[in-house]
Amino acid sequence: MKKKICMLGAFAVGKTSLVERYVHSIFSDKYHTTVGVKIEKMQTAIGEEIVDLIIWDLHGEDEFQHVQLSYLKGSSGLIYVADGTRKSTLATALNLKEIAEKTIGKVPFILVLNKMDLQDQWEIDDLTLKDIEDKGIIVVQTSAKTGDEVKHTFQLLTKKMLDK
Amino acid sequence: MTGLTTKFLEKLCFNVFKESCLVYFVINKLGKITQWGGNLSDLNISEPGEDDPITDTAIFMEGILPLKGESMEFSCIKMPNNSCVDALLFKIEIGYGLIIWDATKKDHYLTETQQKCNELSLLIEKQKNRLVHFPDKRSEMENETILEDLFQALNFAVLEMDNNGHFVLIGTPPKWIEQIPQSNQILLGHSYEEDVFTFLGNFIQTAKDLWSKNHQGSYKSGVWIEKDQTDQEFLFEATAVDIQGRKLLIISHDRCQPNEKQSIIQKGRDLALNYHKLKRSDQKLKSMHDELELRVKERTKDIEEANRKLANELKERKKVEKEREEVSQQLRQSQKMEAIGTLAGGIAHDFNNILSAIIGFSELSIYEIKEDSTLKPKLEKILHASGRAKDLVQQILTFSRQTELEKRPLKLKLIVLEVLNLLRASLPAFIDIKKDLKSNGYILADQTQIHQVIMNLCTNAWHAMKENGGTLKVGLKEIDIKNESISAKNKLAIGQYLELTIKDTGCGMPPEIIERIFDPYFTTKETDKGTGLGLSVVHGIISNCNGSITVDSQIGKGSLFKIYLPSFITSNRSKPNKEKTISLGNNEKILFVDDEPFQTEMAEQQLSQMGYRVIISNDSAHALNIFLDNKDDFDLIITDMIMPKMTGKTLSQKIHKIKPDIPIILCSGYSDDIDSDTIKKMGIAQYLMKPVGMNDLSRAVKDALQKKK
Ligand SMILES: Nc1nc2c(ncn2[C@@H]2O[C@H](COP(=O)(O)OP(=O)(O)OP(=O)(O)O)[C@@H](O)[C@H]2O)c(=O)[nH]1
Ligand SMILES: [Mg+2]
Repeated sequence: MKKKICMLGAFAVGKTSLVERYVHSIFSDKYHTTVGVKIEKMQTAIGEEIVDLIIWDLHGEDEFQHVQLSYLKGSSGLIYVADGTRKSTLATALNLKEIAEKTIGKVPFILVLNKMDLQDQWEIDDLTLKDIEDKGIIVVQTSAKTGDEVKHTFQLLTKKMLDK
Repeated sequence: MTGLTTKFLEKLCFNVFKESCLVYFVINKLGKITQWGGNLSDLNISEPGEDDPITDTAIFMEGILPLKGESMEFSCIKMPNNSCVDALLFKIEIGYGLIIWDATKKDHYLTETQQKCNELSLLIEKQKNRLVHFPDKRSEMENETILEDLFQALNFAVLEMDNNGHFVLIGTPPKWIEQIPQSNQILLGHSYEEDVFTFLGNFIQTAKDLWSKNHQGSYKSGVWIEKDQTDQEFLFEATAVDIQGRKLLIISHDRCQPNEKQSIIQKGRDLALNYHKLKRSDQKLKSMHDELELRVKERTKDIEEANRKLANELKERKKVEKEREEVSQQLRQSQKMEAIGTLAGGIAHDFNNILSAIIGFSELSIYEIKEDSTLKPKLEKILHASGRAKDLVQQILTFSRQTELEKRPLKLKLIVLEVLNLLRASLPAFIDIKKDLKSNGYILADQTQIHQVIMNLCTNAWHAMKENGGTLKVGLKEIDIKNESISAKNKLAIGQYLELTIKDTGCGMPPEIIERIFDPYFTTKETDKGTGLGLSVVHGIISNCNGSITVDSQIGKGSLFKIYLPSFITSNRSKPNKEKTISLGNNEKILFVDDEPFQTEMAEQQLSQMGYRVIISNDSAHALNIFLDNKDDFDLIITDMIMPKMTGKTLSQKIHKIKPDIPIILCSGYSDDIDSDTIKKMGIAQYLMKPVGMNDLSRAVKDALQKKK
């Protein structure tokens, strides 16, 4: 079974890093921005079910590059990524969520707060986090650098997609 | 269309697609490949089998079909096989057409540009956060690295003009610089920039001109195209800009098409602008910070000033306190002196009474014995010694201010000698006294005050020499002030003066003290009270006598006080009575009152000898009764001043009430509470100081009786 997922979020939040970590188990400190789309394939299993994930790593959203909404077509799940050390990226992620829902309707998604290894620079307080979780949004804190919670995030989304 | 033409076209398309690295697929409505063509291997796409789903070959097609609109574009799709493609999907009759082509070239520059944009944005965000969180932690160093990061991110080569007007590459040089001919020179830092960047010649000149005119903002060279070693064309553009006083030449370089360049530069500039804005707010913060620092400095200066003032004030206050301490010391001294004075006055009173008896009875005896009696010289010796004792008591009284304040002709020399005699006893041996008293002239002044003035100045001299000893020189001479300038300097009228000089060889005084030496401490203090006179009082006394006082002093050498007092020149000087004759009475009746029996006894004998009738009384109340009983009998009343029950003053007043024209003579051992004014007002005929000799007594009685007539 093939499932398409899109990584959405502001630039430099670690979308590519998360995918690389998940698919190739590698991480680089060097920032190499994504232009256009990078597509990766990853096979996983939920119970008996084998799932081929087609992961769209879209370029980061900013005032110069907007996410090409048509690319979202056919997605079974979405991962919104924010950078915990840059508070503004959380707003971008939530904004993208609004737009994506308008374009392709509701699909399973997860909100990821990445770079959790950088706790000393953390800018998102517990209250803000609680506000978001209260809206029924699943928030996972990850680190592409250490690999913490990365695999779990993709597994969780896959499971949600299958459950749907 | 015939089969042949179809075949033809097919062949043509195949070739075109093959040569242009394009691939095409025809897909049916189920998403299965029905036809394909083009250079699949160049795009790293494996040959599909017939009826394979398109998603197997073009993975990005997953979920895309069915297409909603007419067509869909894909741009820069990086596939797992590492190819990067653009694609166009469109609807056709049987299903869909999909054209895929290589986007690697585009990807290359797009990525580079996007990379720059994103890195810059990150930098900006970082900077923003830094400003928000640590506005005070900014430092030149950090700005420096940020700037260099920025240049690097923008792929700029940046040259900075040094003091010699020469440009040196700063920060990390961009990769592209290596492609420039002679890049070695610039990398090594000793190039002439015009040799490396040939287009810069005029531009640099203009830039330097603008900088010298303090031109703000940037100045651009415009786009310039140059070929590198490999004949590839590059676009260059130089910007001259003054950033915080640093003269920079920023050279940008581009490989892309001129029209693409437009948007790229646009983005870069937008960002640079953004950064600039940020920089400005940064600068604003810095200037605010600077201003704050300046204010703090100013405040500190204010505080320092206040502290200085406070310190001065404290100093001043201490000085005043010290002065006050000195003055109160003087006051204590003066109170002590006053107490001694009172004591001395009391003793002098009794002593005068005793002396009166001695003098009186000696005189009586001399009158009674025969002219050739051997007792006469002995009695005269007693009388002489008593006269000296009387002088001594007078001196004590003068010293203790118990005598009346009255200006009268004084022989200044005598007072000087008196003071020096008194001082000699108390001065230590290592202080030498030298006198040079050339004048016997008189002044018109109060003896006590002049006494005190001299005493004070001499005591000061002594204090000045206490440590190391020295000589006290006192001089007195007559001078004639004719010279206008001297008189003006000393504020004296032209005329005859006595000049009294008191000179010591002591420690001397600094100018600031000399300046204030006569300042009054106690302007309200009664000047006739207190023995420890300040120099202000000295000044006051001298001025009061129309004289003047000056001081000269040198630290370590000593001080010289000069006093000028107007000479008192008059033909009828009141001279001490030296008449030996005793005026005799004419049987007039005198009532003599004194609480001391020996006084009355003596007076009775004296006055009888003189030819008067005498009624005596030792009780003032009783005396009043005697007078009342025979008020018309008495020609004269002589009464002591201080008596129990009724004072001489009261008695006199009561008698005068009954018989206003009767002359009264008041006698006193010492009297502080009666002055010449009161005496005159009371109509007292004479006031006699005890001890009263027979001469004085006879004259006083005679005068009083004559006035009545
Ligand atoms: N410390 C730390 N750094 C991370 C983590 N994830 C990503 N990064 C760094 O963040 C920067 C951006 O990472 P990317 O994965 O390229 O971010 P992106 O969201 O794909 O960015 P765009 O493609 O430009 O939209 C890189 O320098 C990464 O090394 C993380 O979990 N921890
Ligand atoms: Mg990325």
